[in-house]
Amino acid sequence: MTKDSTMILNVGPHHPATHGVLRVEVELEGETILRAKPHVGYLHRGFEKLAESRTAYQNIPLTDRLDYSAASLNNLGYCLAVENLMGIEVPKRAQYIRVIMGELARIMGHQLWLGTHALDLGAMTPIFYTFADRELAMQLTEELSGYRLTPSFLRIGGVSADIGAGFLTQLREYLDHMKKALDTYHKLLTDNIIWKRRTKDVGVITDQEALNYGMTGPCLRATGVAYDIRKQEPYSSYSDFDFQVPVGEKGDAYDRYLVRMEEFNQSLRIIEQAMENLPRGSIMSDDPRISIQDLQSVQSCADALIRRFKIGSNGFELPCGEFYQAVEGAKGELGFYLVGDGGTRPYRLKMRSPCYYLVSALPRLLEGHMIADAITIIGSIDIILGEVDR
Amino acid sequence: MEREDISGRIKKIFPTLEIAEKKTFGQLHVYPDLELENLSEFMRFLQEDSQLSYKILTDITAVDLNVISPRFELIYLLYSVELNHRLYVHIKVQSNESVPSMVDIWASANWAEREVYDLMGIQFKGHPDLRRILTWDNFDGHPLRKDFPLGGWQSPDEFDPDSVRVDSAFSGSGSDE
Amino acid sequence: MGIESKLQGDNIIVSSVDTIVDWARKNSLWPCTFGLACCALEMMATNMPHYDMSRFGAEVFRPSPRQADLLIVAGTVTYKMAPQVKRVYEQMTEPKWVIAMGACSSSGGQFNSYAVLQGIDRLLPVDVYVPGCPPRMETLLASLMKLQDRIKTEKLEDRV
Repeated sequence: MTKDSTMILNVGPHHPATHGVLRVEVELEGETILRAKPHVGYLHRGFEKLAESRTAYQNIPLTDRLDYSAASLNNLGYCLAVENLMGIEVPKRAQYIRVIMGELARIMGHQLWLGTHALDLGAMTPIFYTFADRELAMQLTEELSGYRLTPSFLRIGGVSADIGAGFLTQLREYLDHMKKALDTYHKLLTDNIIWKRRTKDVGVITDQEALNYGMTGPCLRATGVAYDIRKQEPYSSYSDFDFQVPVGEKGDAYDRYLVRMEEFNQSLRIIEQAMENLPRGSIMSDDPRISIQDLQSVQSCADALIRRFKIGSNGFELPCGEFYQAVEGAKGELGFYLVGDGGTRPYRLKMRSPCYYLVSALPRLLEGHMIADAITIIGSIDIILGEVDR
Repeated sequence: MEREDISGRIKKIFPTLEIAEKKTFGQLHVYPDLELENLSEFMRFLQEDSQLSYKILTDITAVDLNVISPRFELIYLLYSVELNHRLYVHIKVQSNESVPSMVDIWASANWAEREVYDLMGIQFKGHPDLRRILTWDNFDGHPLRKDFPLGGWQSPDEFDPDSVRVDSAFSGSGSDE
Repeated sequence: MGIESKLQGDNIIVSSVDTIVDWARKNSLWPCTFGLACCALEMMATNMPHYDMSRFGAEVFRPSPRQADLLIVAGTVTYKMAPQVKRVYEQMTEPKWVIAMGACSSSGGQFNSYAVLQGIDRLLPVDVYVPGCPPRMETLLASLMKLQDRIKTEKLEDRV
């Protein structure tokens, strides 16, 4: 029961600043939040149940729609889970292309965060810059995969299209442009006195509490814990690249901002190294269980025709066993727990969503703050509801 | 401490406990054979032991085995930052059994267990607020069970928006107005 | 300069009320921010420098349904969210139009599951369906123009 002097207010699910359909029920005394309880599930689409009725290939577009601001990273996690369960070796060139797409996706996700977070706090300018730069990255993605937002570019065993020289030229121009654009973002916000007043010491969480709540990614790194899966458990040739993991100190909204701003820089470094050292080779594994023959041999050889038809329509068999693959998504540890039973459909596919645990920490983060700071905190932890609700 | 000694360390502290372990694809899965009442003690040891220190409960997953007994397999995914090691703890749960909640040990268990309850129907004893999280409050059934159809029990043509009920999280305040 | 030089003096323009009202309505459609999922990002990007939607009068995205007259349902509508969509639609004042953006709000999209409403037209009257997953910005702009063409042919008695 609530006291007479308190009021219960619904922030959302239809709200301009909750970045999707998040509903936070807050108990207010004046403007101060006494307790906060988030409600999620307004975008629950039944991803895990759907994944059990589709073949492994058909699940790739489904994974795109999870964290839709940085879509290629979801594909990466899922494809790696299937490949590791089946023991498929991905060619080196494909791994580098995956890294390029993944880091582009990370940059796009952070740009979306920066624009909308600043817009919520009243700064209207950064969103125009970040979205204009996001357009360039989306044009690059479209050049390679045909889609802007949800590319579904990766395949089990490799990638779907190869990089040409034209793409590399455009990528080089993009990198040069982004380095200058980053200076613009910093100039707009980093030393801005209003930004600092609104984000410093807001939403502070200690490193032990963050670990206890299962927070990962930039929010955990802002508290001082240097946990980045690309460094701890490298996958897809990340150990070949030289990059640093930015770490904060206090765990407030300003530190989370600084960590993500530095991650932009590190992602650009990784893309540059991947681009310059791109190995030659094929872009798709030729493991017989998954490889689909090209049309030339399909038209001349009966075995190739049968195999292409069987793999395309029925799917390939997943072995019995289970595997958990974690990748560093834009928001934190993105994991896929895949259980195979020998059939062509996954028996169980669980997706470990980083934003789910970030939202679960909202009651702890919002307590004691004013309602205006609640918007700052919800923006600074950077949630995408597609990932929370699946 | 080497990663290979982890199961040795567990066996040293719990010598009477039968622990089957499977090292597949380089991942360590343990299957402790214990009564569910003693699960909290085992998990607390995993978190608090200074040499192991599994501080992050990454996730709790449940698999519907679709047999009479045991019906479900509950999997706790743990991660230790100091050791840089992941541990997977598998527990078998019967159809009507309820599992002790891990909320006192890891705060991330709160929402993880709510999700397992919502989607699989496994009850957690001692959970402060066990209610549905991803589906709505008067949803009928547990979607991820193998006997639940993909499209649900209701045809899409019969949907009535007034039938969806989402209660307030602050008890005693009625529906979401 | 331009049109003012031709209209100097005591000039009178004769037209029908329907034409003037429709012209005013179609060139100042104010959308309500109703981004639910991935399509929301493309809707936001349509408002941004590259594909500027404010050229067509739809610049001001109002968060409050009382101040908006166009509801762009961008994203998957789940059964849990459906009552809220209906509520927001009912709070909008006449005249109001609905664009179902994307495959999910048109027909459920690729999510034919226990939790997803198979098309927002099961609850609200939809004026324009925009296919795509997510639709390209040009498609959304084209749908806006199609809606404007439709408004041009409306009569006042349709909305009474």
